[in-house]
Amino acid sequence: MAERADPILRTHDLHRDFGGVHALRGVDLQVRRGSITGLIGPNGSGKTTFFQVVSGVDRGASGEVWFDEQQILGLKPYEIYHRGLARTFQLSRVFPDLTVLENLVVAAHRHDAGARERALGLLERVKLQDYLQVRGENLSYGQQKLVEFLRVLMSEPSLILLDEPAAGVNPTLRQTLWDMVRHLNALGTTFLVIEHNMEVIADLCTEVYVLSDGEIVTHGDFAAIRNDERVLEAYFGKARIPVAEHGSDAHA
Amino acid sequence: MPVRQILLAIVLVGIALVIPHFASDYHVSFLVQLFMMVALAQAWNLISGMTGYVSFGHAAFFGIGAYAGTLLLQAGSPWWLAILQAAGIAGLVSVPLGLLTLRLRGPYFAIAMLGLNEVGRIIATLWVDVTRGGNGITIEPATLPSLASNYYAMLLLAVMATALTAWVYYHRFGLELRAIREDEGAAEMVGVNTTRNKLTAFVLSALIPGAVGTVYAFYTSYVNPSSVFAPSLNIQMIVMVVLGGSGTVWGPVLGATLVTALREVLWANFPALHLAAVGGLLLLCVLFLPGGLLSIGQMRKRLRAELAKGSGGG
Repeated sequence: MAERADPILRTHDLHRDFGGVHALRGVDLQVRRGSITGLIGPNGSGKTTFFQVVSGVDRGASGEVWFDEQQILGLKPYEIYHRGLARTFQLSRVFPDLTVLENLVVAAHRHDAGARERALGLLERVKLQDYLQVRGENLSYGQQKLVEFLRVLMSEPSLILLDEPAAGVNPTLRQTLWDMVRHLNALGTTFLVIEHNMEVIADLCTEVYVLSDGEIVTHGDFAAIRNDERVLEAYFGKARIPVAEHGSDAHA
Repeated sequence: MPVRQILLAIVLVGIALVIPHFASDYHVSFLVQLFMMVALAQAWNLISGMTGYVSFGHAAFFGIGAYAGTLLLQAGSPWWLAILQAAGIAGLVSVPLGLLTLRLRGPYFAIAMLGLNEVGRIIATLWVDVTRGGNGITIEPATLPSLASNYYAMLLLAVMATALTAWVYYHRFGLELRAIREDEGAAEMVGVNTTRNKLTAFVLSALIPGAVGTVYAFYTSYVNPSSVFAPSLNIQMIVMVVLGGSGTVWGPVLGATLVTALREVLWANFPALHLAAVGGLLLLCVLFLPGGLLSIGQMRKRLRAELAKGSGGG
């Protein structure tokens, strides 16, 4: 354990209730600096709520959220962003009436003199340099997701939360996106990724947390959690077990 | 800002500066009203066109400015200082109001502002000791600035309001306001301090009507609640900006010019049709030209580019 990097993000006993619904129930999670960590779980398990709380959009939670050894629970989203924690949304939220270039520049720090050049460099890297003056609403959905991803890179964050970044994106752009994630990770950027494609999780993530009904049921490397009964139960329910046993009996 | 637009602005201001030397009082008076409308449209454009917080009650700041300026003038302030002081008072009043109302979004903000205008009108009507209620205040002619002074003061306010809009539009601050207009939550997620930006835009958009209201009071030498807290003024601000091009620099200038000219023609010839025509204009614009008249130029440019692309490909 001694060689493990220190956590860049750490939550402790994180709770979020909506009336009688317990969306998060004492979530303890650590994202190691320099890692790509996966957050998986069935629909409604609390993954996006977790992102909303950590990124400051939802400030109604209790517990602790430590980013770079500073408590950030209760801070506003823009304060968290300027500390180096950025996120993307499940559904694309580019600014529809702003051009692609404006979409990127607005996300840079206010007194960043090199914002325009960085934006041009990022767009070139994903071959969107011809779309500089195109308005956000005129991009394809996949391009919008990519621009949204590039947008959060403008502040050079140390941790990026990606909420299903490849959902609805065509395979070519999806590959571009994951290549970019790998490249940035090699340069030191940490990622926490919500993703339903388990091949991507297996391929990218060094550690995976599994959320079910607002609780972390297990965590570890993908190989370890893949066959964990608690994970299978979270996804398929208890009914799966007798069915599987019945199936294996039939084959026997 | 493009050089061509700066040159156009310099030419327009140059012409406006010499007009009082040869134009009749009627034409000078018309231009005072035109400059007033340009300044008011630009003020509304800042908070509603650029930031997306549609206000139905910005005449409230116009009314506050008109009363504050009049009372300050009567208390002995020089007229030019009274304009600055009234703008400052409108700006100060806007801070707590902005903190309260800018938490609301969409129609709720619009309704809150409409209510604010009504509150202003009722206070001005009932606070008889200070405002003389519905009778209004007639300003002593001896203390009033001349028509030419009012003209230049209103011209200066229109120019300053347009210059401020241009500065905001081409500055990082304007980009952040437009991001708020597009998606406030996403803007905050990419580092935009939405509360500070909205409040700044709101205060700036209150300072201008505050000053304009004072000059208007001096120009008409009379204020009463229904003339300066007029709901029709709110409607005109909206129509001018939507007609010209919301969120742009020149749209409010174009819209104000058209609406003021139209009003002048209709007022003289068809007084009953005046407000109906303004409402009809707004309806037509929203239905068929939501980007305002300025968007016609952009649409033509886009169409030409499409045609060029089509002929190049074929």
